[in-house]
Amino acid sequence: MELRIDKVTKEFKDLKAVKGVDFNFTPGIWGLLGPNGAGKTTLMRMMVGNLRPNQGEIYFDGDTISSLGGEYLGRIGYLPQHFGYDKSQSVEDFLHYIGSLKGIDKATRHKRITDLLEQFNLSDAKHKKVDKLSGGMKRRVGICQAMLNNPDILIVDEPTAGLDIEERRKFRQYLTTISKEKIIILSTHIVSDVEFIANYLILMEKGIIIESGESHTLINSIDGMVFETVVKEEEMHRLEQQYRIMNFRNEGNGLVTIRYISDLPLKNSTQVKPNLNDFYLSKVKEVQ
Amino acid sequence: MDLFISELKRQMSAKRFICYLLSSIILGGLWSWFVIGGQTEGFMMTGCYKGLKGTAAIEAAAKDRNVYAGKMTVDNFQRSGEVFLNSKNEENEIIMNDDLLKLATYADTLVMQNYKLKKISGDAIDEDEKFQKFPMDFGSHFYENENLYYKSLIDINTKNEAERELAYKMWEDVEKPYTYYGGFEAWRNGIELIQLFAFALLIMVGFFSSGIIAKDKECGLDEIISTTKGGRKKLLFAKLFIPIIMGLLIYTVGMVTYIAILKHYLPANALETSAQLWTTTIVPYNLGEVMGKMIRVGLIGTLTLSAFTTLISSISKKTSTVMSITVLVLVSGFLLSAVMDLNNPVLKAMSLILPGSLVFSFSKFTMVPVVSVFGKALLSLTFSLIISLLMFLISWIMSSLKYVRR
Repeated sequence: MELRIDKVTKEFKDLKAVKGVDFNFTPGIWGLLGPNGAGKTTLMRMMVGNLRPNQGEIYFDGDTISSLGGEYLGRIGYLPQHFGYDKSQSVEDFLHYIGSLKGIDKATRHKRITDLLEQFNLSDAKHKKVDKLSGGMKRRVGICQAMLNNPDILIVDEPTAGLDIEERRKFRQYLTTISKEKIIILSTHIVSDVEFIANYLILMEKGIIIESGESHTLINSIDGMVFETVVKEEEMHRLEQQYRIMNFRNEGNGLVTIRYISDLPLKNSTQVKPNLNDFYLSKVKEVQ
Repeated sequence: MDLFISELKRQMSAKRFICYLLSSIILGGLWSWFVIGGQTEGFMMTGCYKGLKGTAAIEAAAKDRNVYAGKMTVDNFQRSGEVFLNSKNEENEIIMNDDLLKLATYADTLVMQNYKLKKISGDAIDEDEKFQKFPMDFGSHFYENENLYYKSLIDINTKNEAERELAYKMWEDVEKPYTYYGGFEAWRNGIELIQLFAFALLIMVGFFSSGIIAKDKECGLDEIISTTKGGRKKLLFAKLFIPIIMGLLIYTVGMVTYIAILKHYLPANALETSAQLWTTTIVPYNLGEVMGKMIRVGLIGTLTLSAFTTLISSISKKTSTVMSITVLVLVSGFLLSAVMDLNNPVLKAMSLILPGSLVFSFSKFTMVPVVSVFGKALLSLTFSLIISLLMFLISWIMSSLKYVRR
């Protein structure tokens, strides 16, 4: 199974949101990272057929997704960034509605909805109106609807926005469970969400892919370049101009511990093991 | 079918469904109460049924007038003319008496005929004497004078031979002698108010249909719908038919309530009264037939408005915008068709094209309602129906294309 993005460009009136993106998705969990306006949502909307590229094509197992039409859509699950629902519908009614749109027969739908509600801890809320649920619960309903047809390709845009720590942990666990033989693409601002579950990472900025590959390889690419040291507060401004500071912690007495990336470390620095956050911030800064 | 039912359940939640139907029932009740409860009777401002209102007034007048009800013979017209002229005193005021009360419908029709004849022939009308002066044997020539008047009316109001021929044929088909039954005046008011009632119902239909597609875009659900296997294509059938079903329900329930209440309180045989006693017209129908046609035509207008609103809903991203456009179209149609006397061909064409304006069909039954298209004459009502059905089809086709291709 392969989802191929072939030199895809998408332009809006005065903005080139995606610029000639070329990429192959194979089964596994793909974390799509990038700052606001990087083109992640536009790329995802093209992958689900909601937007048509101005140039290039998207292929699923060798055929363009536009020629596959319903056949392709029947194999995807999608959760948009702004999850929409009908205010008047209950959780169960909403899921049945989406299920019927996905062409799932009533009996299968019933079983699948019961299982998903159970899995996402929504069984008690199934008769409640979606609009009356908390932000986190709404998001979980959104994930349920994307999973209804047990898709081969799951595309989720900011799936953990609004979820609390426990809910995010459960969601990550769920994705890991179902990821076998599926292409799962999730975009997020929350780096920790993809750090532990994504097999592969794609870093986007200003409409282009700036880095991609296996997560640990990418993180390891900056191994030996991440350091921590304690500096005086008044030095911070100067250091920020010279180094890419990823994190800092106030230690009191006018001292600050900084975590930074550099080929040449400052005096008294300790080398630390890099994480995804370090990698992300180092790369995004580079392009800027 | 599964998807259709799912969408139907979504659009017509029990609460929403009951709310709309209950509103149309309440409106129907209020409207009929306005017609019946507000009805007063009289004869040339003589105050003969002063103090009576509603069913009491209708029943009192009907009791008097039904003495000579049924076929309106020339003898009765002649008698009414004599009684009317003999009931006037030296100051030309009418002194009410039993005979005149019984022959009031005849006398009223005669007086109106005298006025209309004078007006169409260009004779001077003495405003002080009003139009009450006519020869003693005037009633014995009633149907000859009707012929004279309507033929002149047809000649003035037709543009070509085809229109004239059709109009003459219609006039010849009018059953003579005319028929009337007491209580028709209340029915006449009821029929005239159908237009305004339909306007109120159509506002409700427009409100319901506005969100059928626009609401999905507004709340973001459309983003999910379009990425499902069935997607918009499979939903299209439901999106097109649900506004139609709900429109028909709102209109039918409202109208049935209205007519059922009128039928319960007003004399049923009064519907057999000739349309010529209702207004100046060449249509060969009685009041019941006019009412039936107005309601059926209104139904087509409702379908057209539902389809048009669906089209706007497929174009716009906001339900409130769709609602505003629908109300604007309805108000324009109402003003152009029901309120303004149109001589301007552009405004006339606009009143024909505006979706839903068919419900304001009162003018399609008055005077000489014929038009010619490419030299072929047809009833204005038929022409409006064709235009309305075309608008309905165009709206549906465009909605389908717009919705599926978006």
